[in-house]
Amino acid sequence: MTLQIHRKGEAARPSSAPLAQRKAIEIEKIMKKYPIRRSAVMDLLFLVQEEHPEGRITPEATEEIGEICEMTPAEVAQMITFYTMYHREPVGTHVFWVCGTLPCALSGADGLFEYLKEKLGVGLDEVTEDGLFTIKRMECLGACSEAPLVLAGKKMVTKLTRAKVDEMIDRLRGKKSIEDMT
Amino acid sequence: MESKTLEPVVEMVTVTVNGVEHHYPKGKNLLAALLGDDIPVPHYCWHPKLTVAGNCRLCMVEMEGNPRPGISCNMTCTDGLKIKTESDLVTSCREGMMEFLLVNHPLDCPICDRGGECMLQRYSMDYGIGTARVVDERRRFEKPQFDPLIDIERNRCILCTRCVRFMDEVGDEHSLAIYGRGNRNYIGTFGDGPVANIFSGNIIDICPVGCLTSKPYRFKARAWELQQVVSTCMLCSAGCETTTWLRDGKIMRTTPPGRREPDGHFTIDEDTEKFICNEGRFGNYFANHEDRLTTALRRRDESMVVSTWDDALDAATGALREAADQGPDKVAILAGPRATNEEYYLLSRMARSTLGTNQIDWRTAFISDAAAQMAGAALNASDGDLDKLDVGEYDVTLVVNAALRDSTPVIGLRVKEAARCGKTKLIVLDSALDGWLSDQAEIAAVERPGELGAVVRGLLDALRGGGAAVSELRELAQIFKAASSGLIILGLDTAGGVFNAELVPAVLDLARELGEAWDFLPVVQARNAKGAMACGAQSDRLPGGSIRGETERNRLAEFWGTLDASSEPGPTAPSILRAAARGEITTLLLHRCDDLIYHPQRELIEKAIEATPNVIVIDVFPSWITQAATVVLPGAFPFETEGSIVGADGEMLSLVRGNQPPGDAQEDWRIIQTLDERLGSATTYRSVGEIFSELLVSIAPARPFRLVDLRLEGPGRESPQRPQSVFGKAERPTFKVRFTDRPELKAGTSLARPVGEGKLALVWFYAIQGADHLGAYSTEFAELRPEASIQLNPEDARDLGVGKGDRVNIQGAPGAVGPPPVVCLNETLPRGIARAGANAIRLRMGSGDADVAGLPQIAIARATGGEA
Amino acid sequence: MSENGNSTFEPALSEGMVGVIRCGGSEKLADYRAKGGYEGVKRVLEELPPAEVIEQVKEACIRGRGGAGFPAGVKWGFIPKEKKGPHYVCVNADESEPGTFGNRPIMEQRPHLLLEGTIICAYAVQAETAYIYIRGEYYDCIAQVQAAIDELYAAGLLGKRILNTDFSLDIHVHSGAGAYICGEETALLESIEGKRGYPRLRPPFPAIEGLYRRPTVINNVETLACVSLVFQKGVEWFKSIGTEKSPGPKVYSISGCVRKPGNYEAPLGVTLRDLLYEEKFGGGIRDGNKFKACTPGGTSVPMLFEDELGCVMDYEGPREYGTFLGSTGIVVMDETICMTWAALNLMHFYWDESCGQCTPCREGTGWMYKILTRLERGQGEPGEIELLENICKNIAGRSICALGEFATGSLVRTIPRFREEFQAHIDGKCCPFEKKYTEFA
Ligand SMILES: Cc1cc2nc3c(=O)[nH]c(=O)nc-3n(C[C@H](O)[C@H](O)[C@H](O)COP(=O)(O)O)c2cc1C
Ligand code: SF4
Ligand code: FES
Repeated sequence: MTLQIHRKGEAARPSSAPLAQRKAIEIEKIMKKYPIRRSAVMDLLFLVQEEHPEGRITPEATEEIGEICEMTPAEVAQMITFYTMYHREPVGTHVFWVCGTLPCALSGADGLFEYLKEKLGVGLDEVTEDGLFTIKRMECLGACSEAPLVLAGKKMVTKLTRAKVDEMIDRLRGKKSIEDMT
Repeated sequence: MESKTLEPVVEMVTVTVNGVEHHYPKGKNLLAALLGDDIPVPHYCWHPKLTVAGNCRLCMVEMEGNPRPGISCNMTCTDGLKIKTESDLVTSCREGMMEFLLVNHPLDCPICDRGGECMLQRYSMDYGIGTARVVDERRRFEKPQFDPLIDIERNRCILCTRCVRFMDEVGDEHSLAIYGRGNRNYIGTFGDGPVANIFSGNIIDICPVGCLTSKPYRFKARAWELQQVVSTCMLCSAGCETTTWLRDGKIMRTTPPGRREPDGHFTIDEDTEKFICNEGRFGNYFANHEDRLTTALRRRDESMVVSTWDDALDAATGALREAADQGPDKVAILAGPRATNEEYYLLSRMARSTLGTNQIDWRTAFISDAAAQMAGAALNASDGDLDKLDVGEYDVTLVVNAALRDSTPVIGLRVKEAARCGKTKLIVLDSALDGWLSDQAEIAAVERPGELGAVVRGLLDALRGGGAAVSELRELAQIFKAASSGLIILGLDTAGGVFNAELVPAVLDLARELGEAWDFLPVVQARNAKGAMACGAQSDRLPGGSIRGETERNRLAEFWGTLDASSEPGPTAPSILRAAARGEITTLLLHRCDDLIYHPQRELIEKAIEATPNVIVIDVFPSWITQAATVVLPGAFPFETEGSIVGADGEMLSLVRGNQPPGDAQEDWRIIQTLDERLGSATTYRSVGEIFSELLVSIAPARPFRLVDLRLEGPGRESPQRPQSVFGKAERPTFKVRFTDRPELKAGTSLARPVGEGKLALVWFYAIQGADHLGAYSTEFAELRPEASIQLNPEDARDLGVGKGDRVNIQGAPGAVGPPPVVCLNETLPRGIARAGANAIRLRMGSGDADVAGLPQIAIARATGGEA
Repeated sequence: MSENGNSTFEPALSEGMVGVIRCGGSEKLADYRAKGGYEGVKRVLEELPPAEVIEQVKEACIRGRGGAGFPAGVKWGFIPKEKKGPHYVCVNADESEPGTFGNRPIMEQRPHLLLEGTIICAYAVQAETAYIYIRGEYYDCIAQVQAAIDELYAAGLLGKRILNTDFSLDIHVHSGAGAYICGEETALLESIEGKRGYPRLRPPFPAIEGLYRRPTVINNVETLACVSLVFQKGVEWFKSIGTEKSPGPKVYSISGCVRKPGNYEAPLGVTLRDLLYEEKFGGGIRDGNKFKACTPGGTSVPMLFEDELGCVMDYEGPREYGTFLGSTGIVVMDETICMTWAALNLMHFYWDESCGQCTPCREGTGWMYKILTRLERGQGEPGEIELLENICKNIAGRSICALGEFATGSLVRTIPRFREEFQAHIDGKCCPFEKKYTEFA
């Protein structure tokens, strides 16, 4: 007799999804934070989004994450559409999250939007032809006294002026860091 | 063991509603209490069977001493609670909320399939402000492909999430979700794919608006032009109550019973607690099919030709008489799985009294005598009661080898629900886990199919204090010992003696060991197996008891005038078929051949029919069997006939007639009655009610069932009302039949046949979805059924070079059905074994001359293109 | 106010902080300890039983800084004393309320101030796991808080048997991903559980069934920072600041049309006028313009106007005017600002950020957004201003969480006050304002 026993609430076997192998260490670290696998879904979505060349979460990745987190693809996909920092559509290498909420709007955010769109030649959520940039409208980014501002990738660039925007874009186009811009 | 109090003490509390004191059970959901008391409270998101979402905000009530209204669906009855369901505040809440819901709801009622049965329409009339203050454009969504059975119109959605919660909590599929955020929220599936669940059709009913509608019913009819027949579904043995909606004699749709309106009509009940499966909902359209048999047929040389009823009946009676005159073993009656109690009773009378033979049997699906014997034994021992399960009277439920979701979906649902709500502790023992029922199991144990019997025996040893080899069995035994009551559900594989040979006796012994407080419930594919057994359409039983029983014989002789058949049991259906194949039978009466048409031992059946000079068939569709018969008599479908059936758990249920059989076709009971009359029977029945009354008296002393709300009289045709009960609610019998006249059981054969290189052993289970020939005639549905699948262990799949979602061809003993099945991976499946349902594969088990010694073997290869 | 010695007030929360965003490192563990940091934890773990900790927090009357002002000690007291399974602490660091940015520098520059309070809270409610839910856009905060947590593990101040006592605690950072609603405490719990941030129905309350259906305390970053201060400097010290019912220091975030926008720490009870006009705070209205309106506590609460500048900015003061202290995010609008335009901008926020779960908020915000869009363009219809007011009434108090009501914050006091201005958009079929504020330098 080789009786196989499964108990309620027992953790499932490790997933065989390619993602689970490729990112085994990171995933293990994330999983350790939580008592249930599902809680890791938000971190995992960031993980695959960052690794994807188009900066987005593909349907395949959605399924893989579901398998790892013991969720159905539908449950994962509904997370992607709820949280604005996840993308299903391609984005540029650099995403400009521009704040448009009242404190920023009181300090020229609308003009900033126009300037960025004009300078990059794209509308909101579009990718520039060179694949480098996407402008997204964000709600309050929590630095209102420094308005107008943009979250360029992971870097906050504040008190923007035309000159500062020009510099930021030039640097990024030239593959130079903007880490020291404030 | 301590005995449990059956009536739990419920504390009642006083809740003041609109100034009037009401008494409700403490802790009861307030909205449920109010609705139960006929105090109207509009609500969308709350559904009695689903968790509370509280998102529609329509059920608000005013709480005394609180300026803020509260939602009654998230309140419980507490003592001294004072609320108002009618006040200025409540009215303003309702008006406001109705207005909000209409901000984005399109005004397309005239073209909406839900028009006339829509909660939004209804509440707008009752609670809306009547004028529209919205001038802005409404939100619009593209229409996606979505589900093959369910149409989605997102613009109409009010986001109550009933459907999402249904799929999460009842369907357990988690395939529906809310996407987007805020005002752009919409429901959908991943990639707009299908909802894919055997219960998905229920979201059509529980959707309060016209967002989710039935594709097969789309634009077909308006609810108010339809005639309604509330009857019992005959597609599996769960025996669900359903309403069939007809127009001009054609089935338009089937739904759960519905809500009765003051004028006697039924409307779709959005709050229904009776969910049905998709097969029951969409699988009934076959009755509309134009290929129905509408005239009697007789053999003329090589072909069947239309005949008058008179001629056909003459030929049939002549053949039956001739055979009976040759001796009791020359004539035989095989009763199909879908007949009514009354039909079984009449067939039994014809055999026993008129023809003087015991060669009558319903067990046509079983492939060996042993398998059939054991099915009889198991059914006879059955006393499980699903109502007791629903209310939590079984501490433990053990489900053995039963693909409940696939074979009897609603029984599966009830078991799952009880386990989910903590009403019973579920233990599953099977050769693979389905991840559906098994997910709710406290413990789920998997063993190779051939050894399931040994596991049960091991458990039995552990219960008796012997040292079971496996520690888990000792643990299980502890759970069983600690329980004061329980239920054992056993799936009886139609495909055979294969498992049953060891498993059934072991489980019966287990049930006996556990004692009186444990009930037993076998689940069989045959729809009315219990009725067939109770009414004597089984070779070793008379209506009401054993064939040897003195009292039974005397009573029946009195009713029937004579009882000529001997008191020795006759052969089982598999044995009768083998005898026929050997040319030993002169006349065979086949009543409804459902199980023979796709029988695993096709060659055997062919031979039996070929070697028998007279084959009389009563059926509804042409088949290769009607082609090979000598006389064919066209019968009727469930909603074209009246009668009673016995559900799997012994509940006596009624069939209501709503329609005439097409053409010259007749109700089956009339055909059998006429045959019997012409054969010289002593008594004649004028109505089903008459048969039923006699049947009840005949089987009463041993009736292993209880009566619920039976209503046989009156076709649904003239009045849309639910016909009145003729027999009323009967008392539940105070005794049960347990393990009586159990035939000696042979020790079964071992399954340890080695599996050849590259081959897999096939575990075959009954799956209701399109499993029999009727499925194919349900044209509206046939193409829309979900794809059939075959389960493999992931490692086997890898070795075979196939993956999840691949289509595969099956080679070997079983024949594939339809397009090549799709692979799904099941890691609980032991290696070397494949599992497939009857809807994916038809078993072929040769001629049946030799005993089947093991699981059939198959080889699997990836299908190229779409061809099988 | 004056008794508290406004002039002698020493910033404790923002001690050593510079500006809102600082690139580079934050206060290191050693530096923090040198100022007496983690003395509180040491004392608590070694000397005080959990119940006593709760007592002291109650006595200090630390009111929740996240918005509702609920006393932290009372909240902790709701956690069942008898432990039948895990308890949790969740730190609400989702700071997304428009005009609110006081939590950011605490996390970025003084993460240990937050972590010390978190450890004390976890000890008091017998939790062994704490999650810090930081909004996803706060990349620097996430990095700095995580770095500080790593320091603590290395120093034996987190993990098993902290400071050799029986108390063990793990703190994890959970990153949000762009959803204002996840600042609502039960939505935050759902989000940690791996679901959409849908606020839960109450009852059950988080203290009984919170994260993973277990007893849970949820506190704002600044609330827990105050806890650290209380146990470092004492209850008496804390109560000596601020007012009797609202003791302690508070970080006020000032933005919009002021000369010197920024975070300013002041004792609770400072007046709005002081905050806006004092040179050490807002420094007056920019361009020498006249003050028109401001949000006293983030954009979710009704606004205050020119004649209300005397409002005392503690938990009681704004209530006298029918508004709330909220998150103390003060967004200032001067005379050049069109209130219809401001309301439209804010309605976009609530329309965008509503989770969409419940009817009044989902449909109400969408509807009001459509109306305001037309109104601002001069395409409003007669009677629609009253309709807006009526919609606000139909939302308030009827939604699952407070967001529904928050969405009405920009209208309920503003329409009555500036009715003519709103009406002018309809009558004149255009916006009567010249839009300078959209200019970008
Ligand atoms: C829509 C909404 C958003 C909220 N956002 C935040 C937030 O960003 N940060 C915060 O601390 N509290 C926020 N709150 C308040 C929290 O629900 C909760 O009251 C707070 O975290 C409790 O912590 P405290 O008692 O320490 O203030 C929000 C509430 C609502 C209704
Ligand atoms: S009020 Fe708004 S944010 Fe809150 S639950 Fe309802 S829809 Fe969601
Ligand atoms: S039924 Fe109560 S809120 Fe929907």
